Amino acid sequence: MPEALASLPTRALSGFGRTRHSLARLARPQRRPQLAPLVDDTEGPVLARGFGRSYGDAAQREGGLAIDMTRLDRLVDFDAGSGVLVCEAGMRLAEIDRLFAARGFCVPVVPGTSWVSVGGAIAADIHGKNHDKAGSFGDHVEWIDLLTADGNLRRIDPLGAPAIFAATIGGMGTTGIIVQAALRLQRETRTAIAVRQRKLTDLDALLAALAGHRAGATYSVAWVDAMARGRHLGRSVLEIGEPAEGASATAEPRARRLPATPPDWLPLRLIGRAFNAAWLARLPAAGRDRILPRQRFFYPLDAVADWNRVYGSAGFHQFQCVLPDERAPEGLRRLLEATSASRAGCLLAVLKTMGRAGRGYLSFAMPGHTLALDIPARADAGELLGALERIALDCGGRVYLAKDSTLSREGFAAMYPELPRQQAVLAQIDPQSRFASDLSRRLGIHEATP
Amino acid sequence: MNDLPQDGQASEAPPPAAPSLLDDAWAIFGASSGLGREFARQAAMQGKALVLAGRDKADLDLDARDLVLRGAPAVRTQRFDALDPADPARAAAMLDAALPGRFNAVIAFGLLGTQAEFEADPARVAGLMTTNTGAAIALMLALAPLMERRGGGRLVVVGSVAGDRVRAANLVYGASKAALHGACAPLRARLARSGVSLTLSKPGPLDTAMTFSQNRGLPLADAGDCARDLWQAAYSGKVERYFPRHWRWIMLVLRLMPGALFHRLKI
Repeated sequence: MPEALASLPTRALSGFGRTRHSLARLARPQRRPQLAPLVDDTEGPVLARGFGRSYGDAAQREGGLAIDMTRLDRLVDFDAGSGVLVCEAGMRLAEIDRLFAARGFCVPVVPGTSWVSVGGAIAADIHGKNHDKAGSFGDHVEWIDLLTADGNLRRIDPLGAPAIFAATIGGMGTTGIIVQAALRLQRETRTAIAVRQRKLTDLDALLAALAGHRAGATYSVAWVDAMARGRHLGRSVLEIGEPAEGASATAEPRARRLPATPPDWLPLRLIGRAFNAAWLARLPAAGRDRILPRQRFFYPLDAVADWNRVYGSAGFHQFQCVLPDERAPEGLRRLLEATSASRAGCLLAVLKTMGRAGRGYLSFAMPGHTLALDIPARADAGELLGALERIALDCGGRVYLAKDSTLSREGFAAMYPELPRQQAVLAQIDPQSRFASDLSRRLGIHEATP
Repeated sequence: MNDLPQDGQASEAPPPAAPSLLDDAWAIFGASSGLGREFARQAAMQGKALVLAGRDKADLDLDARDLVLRGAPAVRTQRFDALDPADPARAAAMLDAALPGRFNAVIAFGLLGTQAEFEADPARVAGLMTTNTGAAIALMLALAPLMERRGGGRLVVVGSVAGDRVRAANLVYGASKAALHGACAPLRARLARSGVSLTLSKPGPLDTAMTFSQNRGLPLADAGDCARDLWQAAYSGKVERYFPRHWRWIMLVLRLMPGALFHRLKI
């Protein structure tokens, strides 16, 4: 073993879904000079890791070295004229929002949790509740400083290195280690969101409402009762949000913790059914309008720090796919029918719309509807996930790699037609497949790996 | 209106001291340590000027840019190597020249190491003792007259719960912090006569680079939370501060425990 690794602890790493664990050495550099030797002075697989919020096996590699980037989290430069912020990859998106709210700027694209790093947001080319308006995270990246397998730190921008840039945005960390990046922040002086919640009785009503709001609304998201069947299929709560003056939460609310991991014999399906019914019943029939601090609108699940343990020790899968708009009504019906009919169950389902394709070869976004489902990793989960993958593929859709833990290699290749271009870049800049994660090996992102 | 100065008088009176960006500045020794960096961020958020001292000046320059963007009006960096016996005096001279008024300092550098390492190679003991104890006390002595001359300021020394009652499993580190604690009490009494406060921080295990490779599965407290708590302790002139607070009661019990019992505990 190289000396650089000898003092590092070995940890069992997993994604947020806690379904697959890989033993790997873990480093957590605190200063910039500690980073490059972790690539230069070692051999074998190495991967950057942020807050571990991808659900499957994207930020781990069995027997490799994982580099926890969260302590390289410094602001480097900010131009108040252009709104361009340079910061290190371990910076949390929520921290940027907190630090720049007073200057009238916010992160243009944030996901459903505040525990996402800048490096992770670029690598997964994440999206938020405003995709129709703002696109994906990568759309707001000016350049990236990337530590590549040859030990060089290269500045990657869309003009100077278009192919490497497109392979890094949404590339799930396969091109190297994102050290710092320049992001264009959005001007926003309002720190609250005016939220309109509306109950919708079925899928047709939901899709009609989404279609009506899509062009005008800044933020839209629907919480779908994925256990509902028959005439209730697709019953949901649609949330439309607009930036507003009002309540701002400057201090981060202290998250609650689960007192213990619930036992695996709990009837999650029944609990999920009851929970969804109760949640829908709480909301008045006419809906509800209120003003929430940004954080509460964007990150409702962060209120419980370790909610991923709700599904017990076996963990859970998250299935998220996007379907092109023209196939969405049919495809979403099939996805929800398969889910509600399965014994696996699904506690939480979220539907959003997307406006345009991302800039990366493996970017998830396409114009369409995207549905995310939490599926406990119990009997029948595998069968259901296989069925969902086939429906997505059949409808011309694709599965989101940041959430994925079970996609097939064939399905992946069919869903991501620009995969050969990604592979061509990797053959050139990572010929020894050093940045091949467990996800890359499972899906064959690095062509050379078995 | 009588108490307002007349035109003629105003020009003769000394002009009121303009508030300086450097007022109430903080010098952070060990600024890239987990706690030092978080403490510096807290100071920046409160609008204080900073001097960052540490071994890796190039990386400290990155911290300096970060701290300016977080609200520090001015930040300067200074190379400081705990193993160089000339550095405490050099650092004090630099602060004397750079900071005209009252200032504050945190001493947050330190090494940990494992008992097995020290038993395998006793030569490493001296390096740890020099860093954690020798250099820290030398720095306290170099800063003391400077802070006394300025007639105020806050000195924060980072000790450890491990120094309250030294365990066999952590003998060298515990002894180094116990000696540091020992130096704080008399120095605090001396500094108090000039209006300088000394706050001794006694954190439990924090989730920092120091503990990262040795995690024994114990819960580690967040360094940012510790820094915010310590900030408040320093500004309210606390003599010492445990973090998390429950360590105060744990250490009270452990300190009172008879040695015959304590040294039989597997902790």
